[in-house]
Amino acid sequence: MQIKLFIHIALIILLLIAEPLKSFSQSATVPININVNGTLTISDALNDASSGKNPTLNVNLSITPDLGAAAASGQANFRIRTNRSTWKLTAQRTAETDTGPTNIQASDISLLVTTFAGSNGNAMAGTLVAPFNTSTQLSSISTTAPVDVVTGTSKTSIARDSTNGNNYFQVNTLYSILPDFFFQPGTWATTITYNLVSP
Amino acid sequence: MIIKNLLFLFLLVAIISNKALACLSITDDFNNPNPVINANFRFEPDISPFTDCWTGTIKVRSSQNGWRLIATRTGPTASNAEGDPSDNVMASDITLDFSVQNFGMADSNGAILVSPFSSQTNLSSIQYGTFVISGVSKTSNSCSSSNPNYYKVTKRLCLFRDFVFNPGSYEGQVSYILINP
Repeated sequence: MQIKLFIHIALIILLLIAEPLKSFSQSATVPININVNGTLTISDALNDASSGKNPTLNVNLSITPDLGAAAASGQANFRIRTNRSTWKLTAQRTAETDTGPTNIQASDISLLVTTFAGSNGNAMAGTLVAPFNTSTQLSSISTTAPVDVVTGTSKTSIARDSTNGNNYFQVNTLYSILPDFFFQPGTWATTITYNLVSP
Repeated sequence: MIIKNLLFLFLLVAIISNKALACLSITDDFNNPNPVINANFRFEPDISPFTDCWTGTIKVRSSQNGWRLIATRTGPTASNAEGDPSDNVMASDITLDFSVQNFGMADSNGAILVSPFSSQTNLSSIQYGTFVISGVSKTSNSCSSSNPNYYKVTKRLCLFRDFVFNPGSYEGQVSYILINP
């Protein structure tokens, strides 16, 4: 009787041992590797999409001198997004062309730079650098070397934004000129290039 | 008494044999067993397109009507990211979509995605030994990697290219195991 019981138990153990051998493969492993690289983007504030990146924004100021005439002004606004903790916005302009001559000089054009941030953007991400922290003139932007306009000290985003729609740091530039009778008919032009760089 | 003992033994052997002869198998799409399938994301945040997705598939075969696919996750863990840790890429930032298709003789209703995996969720839903699929039907009597009867389990991971993420590397892993309940 005991021998039979022993055989029964031995058989059961044998079958239990055999069980795992029938499982051919039972696992899959998915290693997940994520690399987030640093990036810097500038887009047109009025076309804040892929098609609006690295924009060319024309500012046309047409003036006709008159008594009591108001200044002519135009804006170029753009949005900055970066996940880098240090960055800066620089500006440089080309030497002006003047078909008049109009007698206009860069110092006759006032320049006001202001900043703000979207609802998921960090308004403190960047600081305006003197003299751009107050109203200045276009002549503050050199034609020979880039000048710092904004110094960035943190990423522009403060919260997750699943559409990247409201995580921007915006820079508004306003250009104005008074219609002085001193100016002669003609066209005066210059091109300012703003560059976002990470030191 | 002897007949009773033999009957008992026969029943026991029948039950255990059924279990012992059962097989379970996971292969990749190329029928390699116990696959390691790398999910690599390498991106720069951008305005649009702002999602980065990865899709991986496994094939499941079982000769038993009852089986389970369970998953265990580690990470993603930042290895050299700088900045506020709350801005690191987290499991909850990665959306997760499972789908199951039956092939061959596998019953179309034999593999059921368990909530929350029955609809889109995120990677944080996978923790330790998380129940992903309830198998209620076998695929066939064979688990050979060339057997045409199987369930294909597809997982799709997507990550928003958000500017808030700290630049750096993040590593994690999800392990899937097929078991008998």
